[in-house]
Amino acid sequence: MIRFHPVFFFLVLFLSACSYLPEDLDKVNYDVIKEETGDYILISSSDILPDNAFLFVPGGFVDPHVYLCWMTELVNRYPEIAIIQIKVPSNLAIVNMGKVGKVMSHFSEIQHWTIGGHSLGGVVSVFALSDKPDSFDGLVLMASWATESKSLAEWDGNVLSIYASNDGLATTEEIAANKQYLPEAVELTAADSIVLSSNQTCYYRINGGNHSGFGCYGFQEGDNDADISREEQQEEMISLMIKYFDALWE
Amino acid sequence: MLLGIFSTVDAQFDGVELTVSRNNRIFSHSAGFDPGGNGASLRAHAVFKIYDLYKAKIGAELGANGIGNYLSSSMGAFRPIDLPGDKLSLTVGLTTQHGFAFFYPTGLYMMGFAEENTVYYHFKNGALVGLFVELRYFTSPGYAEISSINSFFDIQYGLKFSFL
Repeated sequence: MIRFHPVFFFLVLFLSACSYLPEDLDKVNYDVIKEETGDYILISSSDILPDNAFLFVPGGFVDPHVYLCWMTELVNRYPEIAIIQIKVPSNLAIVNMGKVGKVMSHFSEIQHWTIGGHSLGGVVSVFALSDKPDSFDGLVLMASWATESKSLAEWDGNVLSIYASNDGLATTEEIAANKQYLPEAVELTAADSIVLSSNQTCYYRINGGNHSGFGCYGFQEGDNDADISREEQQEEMISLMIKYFDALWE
Repeated sequence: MLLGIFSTVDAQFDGVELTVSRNNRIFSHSAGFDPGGNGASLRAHAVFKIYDLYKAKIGAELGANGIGNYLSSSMGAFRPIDLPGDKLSLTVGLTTQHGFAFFYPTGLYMMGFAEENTVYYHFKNGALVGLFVELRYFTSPGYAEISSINSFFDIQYGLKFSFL
């Protein structure tokens, strides 16, 4: 008789998980997607890469192309950065932690890095940053937070934490409860109010936004309805990130 | 074609084969040479003897690669070749798979073709443990609307366990 180890059942469960497919791909500006390989998607307004890059880790079980809708627009409006989004098997970065370092090493011409991610991708970003804190100037968390085991409270960098009031998966209560594991909190009321100093976290709440609105992939199970459109939510994200990158690398 | 073989020959059940593999992407149509880790997979096959020199198998594969997770049917035919001594054998075969990559709101069709080579160690109780390596072409035509990396060659390697 064959006996299966519990790890086998976990593996089957993990391999059976569905990923969310992207929507609104007609809104993506493919002119700025310079390269796609099995490991990353490079988004840049120029063939010659800028000195600064935003390394983005997608959320768990979400196809990485769901973020192209706002990424291509961000690069269009702010050509001073390239966005490099990592791709991982299963669309689950947390079991492919080595991919962050591998992709970074491929772009040796990039001088300054900010890392970030959505949801579980944000957690992976925190893990990567806590392993190599000197490799990154900034951290952008979207509906995500740091945990006690990988606390960045003493990290001497700047964090932008964007969260949504109607998020059913990364609630405002959870964001608040984990503020202690990030640098000192500063609440933003508008994108224009970003003034960075070292060792601080700028929190910005998108009123009416939800978890699914951080990408273009429909409604995620467990989320709450948004009171604003996806375009409105992503417009706030783009404006905020431009101000943040501007302040970070001015 | 393989179903045709099963229906026309006197196929005798020969055992169960379980496979655990690691996948490594080596080449994609749009990115060219593009090596990298590309997930893993689990397979289960029922193996049948067909003719004197050949065996066939039919089963399923649950796996993950750069497109996502997938479930596919898997069929193949192979030829066992005895190696010197009575403990080792080699099998060389071809497999094809058809299934769906797991996506919301709808799955995407995927297919693959592979050439596989396995070296088996024979235990006294009839069980076999094998090391295998295979070259596979994998594609999901529907994923082409989402990504330029919708088809690729990968090398899979891992362990096989066969039981009578």
